Amino acid sequence: MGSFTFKTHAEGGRAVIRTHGYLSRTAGEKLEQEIVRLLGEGVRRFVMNLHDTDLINSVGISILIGVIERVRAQGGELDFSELTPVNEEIFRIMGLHRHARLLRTDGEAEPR
Amino acid sequence: MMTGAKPGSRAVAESRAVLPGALEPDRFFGRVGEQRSLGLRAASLARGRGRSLAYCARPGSGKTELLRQWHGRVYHEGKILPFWYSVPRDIRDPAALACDILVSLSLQALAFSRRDPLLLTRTLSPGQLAEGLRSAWGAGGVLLAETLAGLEGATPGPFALSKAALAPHRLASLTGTRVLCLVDDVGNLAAAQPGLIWPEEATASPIAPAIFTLDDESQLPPIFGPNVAALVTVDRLGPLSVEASSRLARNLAQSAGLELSEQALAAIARDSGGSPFYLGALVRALVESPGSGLRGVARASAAAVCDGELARYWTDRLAGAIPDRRIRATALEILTFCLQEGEDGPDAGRLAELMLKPEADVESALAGLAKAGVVKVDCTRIVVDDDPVLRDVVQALYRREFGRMSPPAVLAALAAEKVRGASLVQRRLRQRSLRDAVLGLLAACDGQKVPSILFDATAYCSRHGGQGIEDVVTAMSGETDTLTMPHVISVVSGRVGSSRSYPGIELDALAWTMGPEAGAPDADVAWVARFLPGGSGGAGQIEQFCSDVTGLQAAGELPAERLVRWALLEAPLDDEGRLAVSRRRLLTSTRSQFGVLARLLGVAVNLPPLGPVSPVEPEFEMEMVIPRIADVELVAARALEQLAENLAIEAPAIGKLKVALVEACINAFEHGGARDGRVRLVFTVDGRRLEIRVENRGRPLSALPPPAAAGRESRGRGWGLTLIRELVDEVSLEPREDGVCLLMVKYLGRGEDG
Repeated sequence: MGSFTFKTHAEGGRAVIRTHGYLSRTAGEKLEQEIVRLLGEGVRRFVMNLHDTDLINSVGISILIGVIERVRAQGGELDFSELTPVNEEIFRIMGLHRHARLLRTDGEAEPR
Repeated sequence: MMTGAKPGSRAVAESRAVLPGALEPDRFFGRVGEQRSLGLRAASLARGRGRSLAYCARPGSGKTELLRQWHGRVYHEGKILPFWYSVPRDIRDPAALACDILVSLSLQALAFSRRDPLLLTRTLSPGQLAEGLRSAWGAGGVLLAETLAGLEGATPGPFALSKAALAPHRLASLTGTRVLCLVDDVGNLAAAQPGLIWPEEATASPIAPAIFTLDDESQLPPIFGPNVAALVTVDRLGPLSVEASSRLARNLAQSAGLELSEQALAAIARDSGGSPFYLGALVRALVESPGSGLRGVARASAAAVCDGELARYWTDRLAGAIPDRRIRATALEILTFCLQEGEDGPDAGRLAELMLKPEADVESALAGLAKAGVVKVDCTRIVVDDDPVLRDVVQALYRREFGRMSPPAVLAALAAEKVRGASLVQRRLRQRSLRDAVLGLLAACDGQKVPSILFDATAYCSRHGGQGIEDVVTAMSGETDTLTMPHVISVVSGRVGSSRSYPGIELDALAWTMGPEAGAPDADVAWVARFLPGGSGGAGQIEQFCSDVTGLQAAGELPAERLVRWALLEAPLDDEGRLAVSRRRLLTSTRSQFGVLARLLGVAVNLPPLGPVSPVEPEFEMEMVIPRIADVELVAARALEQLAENLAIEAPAIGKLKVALVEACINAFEHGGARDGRVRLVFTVDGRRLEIRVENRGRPLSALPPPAAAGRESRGRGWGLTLIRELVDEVSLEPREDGVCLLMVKYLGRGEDG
């Protein structure tokens, strides 16, 4: 039903994942699988670009919180970039900004 | 424990501790799913494709018992060599620990080969052990004996330790026998060079993998390194089901000669919260004092729990994470408060205020509790598992450390929450009362000249719930904007947008073209209103109305000037009718527009009936039914987006409405009880309101759950209503006969701020 897709660009231990479409439970699970895969390949720095995701639900965000915890448990970090104002508000209401940085651009994540 | 003794020369005689307990393979202890999973793992190991596994759970969850039972089963089957090792706390000498592990492996290998578990209780000299190993395991036995000899001396080097660590794998490789290492409390390795004692190669062995237990998942990376996910499958042990708890309680009681009633079993299953440790304590207390009743038993078992190993575990853990005694007291009070508050958990931001504590103390205490793994701050909520063991231990620790029964801060916080709940109720009542008063004022205005503030009655009440009717009257006295009836109708309906194509709007827009005459606050204007059927014959009706008015004017019954003719229409006019209205300069409104006005005024407007009387219809209504398909709520959100754009709602507000609708749909699917799982959506544009109804057939809810009952179902669920409340102007639940309807309201014409 949903038309969620994403593209990953991984280089030098860092990955930028650009999402497109509705971030729901199914989409969150797809992203989780992708990040677990990347963790297995040694990637530890993640930026999730949500510019093309105009709609997101609380289940999707909850899965993302789990993903952040998972990345952190392995010494990594996951940031979000280019959120729409509404999505940023939702993230703040749910307190996700306490778990991850909300960036204006992908490049803002570097250097730490 | 052997740890701390000199390596090489001391281990054999002290090896009784490795015995993993009485083996009773047929005893039910719960964990049926886990045992099935372990069976599959054993089959993989038999094929040389084993993989290490880590069970993470709090103390008292039954992970050691699971490992113990599995050891017994593997031992009795005799196909795989089970090697049990319980890692001690307070390891001082890693080399001594490595030696101890190797001695233990050697002894268990010998006992396994001879099928003689009693061998583990005997004392063997190093020479006897070496000889036994050689004769039982051939090259593998020689390897073990040589590796053991290599550890002799005061400080064995890294090479010797590395060989010792890989001994299970090498034994399996040389003998063709699969080895399953069962390592209890592996978390204790964290302080003892785990990379040397249990290196990555040992964990990754497909022919000698391990099943570990540990208390906290955060211990994994320090022990297994950053690649832990590639090396170990992590499994979290949850509480036992009610059925399994009940069955386990019956078995434990029966084995002690006590037959429990179904009622007692159910109570034990409920009170234990699925914790095998606590369940065992309850049953033991019942066996020891069968006449004391469940309440007394619970007290006795709580006392037993608090005097045991678990209390020491939590004491050490909290003291390690929070060394400052004063902060630790605050931490225990926070825990007590959280456990008494129940599963919603208090708001972390309000905790200091509630508990009358300095903010810095509360922050330090929370950080310490999080570090100790006792609580999680899930967004803004503090989440503590309602673990009966933890509950009793916390209370006992507080009493023990600070000599008081009930922390005053906790009592203050609980009282503050009660006051807050009461004030919310009061506020709602005040709002309702104010709204009624405002509507009374509107009715008294009799529809001619009305301060515009009163037409914002609903919004005003929700914004100023703390004020009284006197404040509204004061606000009215400063209000210069007064509205007359036609103007009001246009304000009410015109907010929908004069360019939209909803029934009646075009006519009202036509009325506006009459300029100041229609909207002027002029008391001298005389009004003549007539109710007309409208529709395709509307032109004739308009002409007839105008002709009648002219006749009355000619007769002197109506003034000749400053007369406003106002046609109230049952149905919209056709093009010919509109032309007539324009030519004759009439004001027109539809019945539904008039209904909106009537509702705002809070008065009954008696329009003359035309044909069958129908309820007042909304200006626009759209309905859709969505099936329970993954992500189907997206379809509803897109439909809402289209509608909201037509209503000229601003983009950010549309975004919020979409999220609110999506959350409402997800909630409706979750709570719905209908077999087909369908959810009905109704969008209504009514005056200045956009109403969205989300209806499901399921369990009726009598009231909205409290805000942010967050993250307690599966993680993160429970946020739906909190988000909805934040994103729309009003939200309420309307119980239905066979379900519930969630009503969300968005006021049109408001900016994002208001």
